[in-house]
Amino acid sequence: MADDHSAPPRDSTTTGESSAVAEAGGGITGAALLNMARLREFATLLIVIAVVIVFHVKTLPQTQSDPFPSVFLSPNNIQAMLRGITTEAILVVGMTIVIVGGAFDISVGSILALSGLACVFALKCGLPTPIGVLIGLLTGSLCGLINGLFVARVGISPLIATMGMMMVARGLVICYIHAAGPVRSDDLPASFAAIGKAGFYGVRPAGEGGFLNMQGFWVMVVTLATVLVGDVLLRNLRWLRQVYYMGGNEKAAALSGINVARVRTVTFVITGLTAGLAGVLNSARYGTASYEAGQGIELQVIAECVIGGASLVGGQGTVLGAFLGVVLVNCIKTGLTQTGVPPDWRFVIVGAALVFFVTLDVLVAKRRRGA
Amino acid sequence: MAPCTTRRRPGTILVLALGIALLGPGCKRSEDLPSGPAEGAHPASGPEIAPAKRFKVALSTRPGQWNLEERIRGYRETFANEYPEIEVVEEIDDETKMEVGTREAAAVLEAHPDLAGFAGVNGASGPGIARAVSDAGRQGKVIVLAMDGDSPVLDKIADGTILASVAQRQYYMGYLGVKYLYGLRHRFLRDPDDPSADPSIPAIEKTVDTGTIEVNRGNVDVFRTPSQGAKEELPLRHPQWVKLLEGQRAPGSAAHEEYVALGISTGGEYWQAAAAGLNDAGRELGVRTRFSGPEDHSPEKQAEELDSAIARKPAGILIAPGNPSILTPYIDRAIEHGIPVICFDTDAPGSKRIAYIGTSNYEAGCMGAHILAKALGARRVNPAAKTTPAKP
Repeated sequence: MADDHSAPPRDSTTTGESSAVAEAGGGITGAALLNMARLREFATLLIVIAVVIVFHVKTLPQTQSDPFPSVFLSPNNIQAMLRGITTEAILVVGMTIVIVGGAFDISVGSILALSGLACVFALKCGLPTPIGVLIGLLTGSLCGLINGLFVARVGISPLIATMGMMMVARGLVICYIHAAGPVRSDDLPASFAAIGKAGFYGVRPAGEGGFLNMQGFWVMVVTLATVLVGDVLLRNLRWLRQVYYMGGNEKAAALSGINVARVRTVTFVITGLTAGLAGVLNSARYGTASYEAGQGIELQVIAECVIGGASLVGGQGTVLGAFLGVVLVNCIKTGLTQTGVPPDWRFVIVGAALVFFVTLDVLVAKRRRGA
Repeated sequence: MAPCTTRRRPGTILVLALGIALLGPGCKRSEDLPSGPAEGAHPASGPEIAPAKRFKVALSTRPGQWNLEERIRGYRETFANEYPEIEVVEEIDDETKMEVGTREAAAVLEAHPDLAGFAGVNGASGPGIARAVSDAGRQGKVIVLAMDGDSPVLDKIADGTILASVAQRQYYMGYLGVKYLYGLRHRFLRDPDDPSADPSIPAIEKTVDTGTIEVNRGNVDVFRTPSQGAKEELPLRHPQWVKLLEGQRAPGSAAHEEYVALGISTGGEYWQAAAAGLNDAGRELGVRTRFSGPEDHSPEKQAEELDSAIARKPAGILIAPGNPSILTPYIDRAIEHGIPVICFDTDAPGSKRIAYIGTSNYEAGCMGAHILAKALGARRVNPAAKTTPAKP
């Protein structure tokens, strides 16, 4: 990760501009490939591949009769890992945008829980599923808007504003559950449960219909679509690209005519919206709204954004990179479990691996600039 | 842990070379292994032949939490001593969160296609495992056992994903706790360790095991009440607790007296039953009760709350210490200030607390092990085996 944020536009390797320029100049050539290799995401992808290879080898089957190449790379395990990253993958989309803008949001876990509860509450009141989902998304967006207004208009630090929201949102969930009692899956319509469980062909017994009918297929589709849309928009939408300028140098961005307060508010609204989406999907998958949903996930999501190349001081990062950060962390966690590493040691190893990968990345970036 | 053996497979030569380079000396190269059938994890020859392991099971917990570790110990020792056909192949950290439990359980299910059972020892474990089992399409093939009687667990028992749960009786902890504290304060009951107390006064029990109960499809609906069915069965199961302090009231009004209960991780559903017991006892005795405690698992915050409660000088304190080491000095200080303190749900045995009312977590683990073993059809040997006593 480069650490020079003084003047936008920034290091083009963070946004993919360089490869586009090279391709425009001479098609897909050696230079284009070289530029592609310079992309920040490419480095993360290489690390992901290395980790996958290690766990593939470590989990190779012991008998010829085993049908899969390895436990780690078996289709079922890939499905399970994809299902396992959905919440974090959606959250990093919003978090990357807000981090690129030079702030961060530690309330996403609580907004996730509150949005899931709002959606479930609406459904319990008899509202149709699409309306319930919409209410969940609006709740998340509203929380994000409040965060954004306090940060951008009132001038409160993002840490304090989002910490306040974190406590308020979680507190509201606890108040509701203590006052109204727990949410039962029987209270929710089947159409809502289907969002979390259905495969491509709808809800069918697991094992029928192959890969497309895996449980949670649509949750994965929504997740990947959110990542894709987020990445494309952050790279190409001119209005959203102002976030890079704002995160790189807020004063310069304001002097160049960017409405910094508005852009920053919108970044928080997007973060709230993605947290709302994650909350709705989480409730659909588990058939409930629990107070502990999303608890402690915020720091993990921020760490995954940083692993994927986002800079905590703003101006750098891509959604694709952050998504690869999610994939990397979850590959390590799953691999450690499947190779039988004791739970006590998994935290140590994952924490050390995070620091190692980010350090490696910083050193490579420094060397590249030096060269 | 999967044994570190690799074989030559088409298409994996490059992968192997890279992997071996990264793995270092811990993993044998394929060339080093003999040809023919791959070696199994458990050699079948040798002077001492261990009993054949027919059933692989996994456990889901949160390492470092004393009560959960006791439950795990109950599971492991019961399997080891009484069900040699059962092998615990994996223990995962679910961080007491359903989402994390699902992800970790999914990884274990893929690593062990022949896994027969999966047991969770905290309230979030069961639903997390159940979600992973459903996702993997192994419902009915992997027997899932849960802990406690929170709604997500009951829902999964009702739909058949979870076979059963070992439910605690939190209601009794709150109910009996307030009665004991009231009795001690007004000298209707005495601490058996207090030499200055009148020996003619009935003594309280220093340790009360409120017991556990199996929740299954046959009785799941009984647990869908605020007390999780405990209040309804109290007169039948524990009539002595109902009759305790009957007709014994302090002279004058005790309405100003406040009894404080401090839980840990109180945001969840678990503590609602304990609070219901607390309130019911308070109403019976005509005193005020207040339930509090940090929403998350933060013993430090709990210590601050206890400190603040001591300053208000309540008539008695019930506390579920999140970490006995941190809470013990605070409990001792409350006792020194003349406030009776009883531990409930979790204990701080090294403190000056007067009594402990709660589940024997070790026994809860043993109970879960027996339910799972029975469901698996595992052969029981040495049923009179003496397991080691619970750790303090």
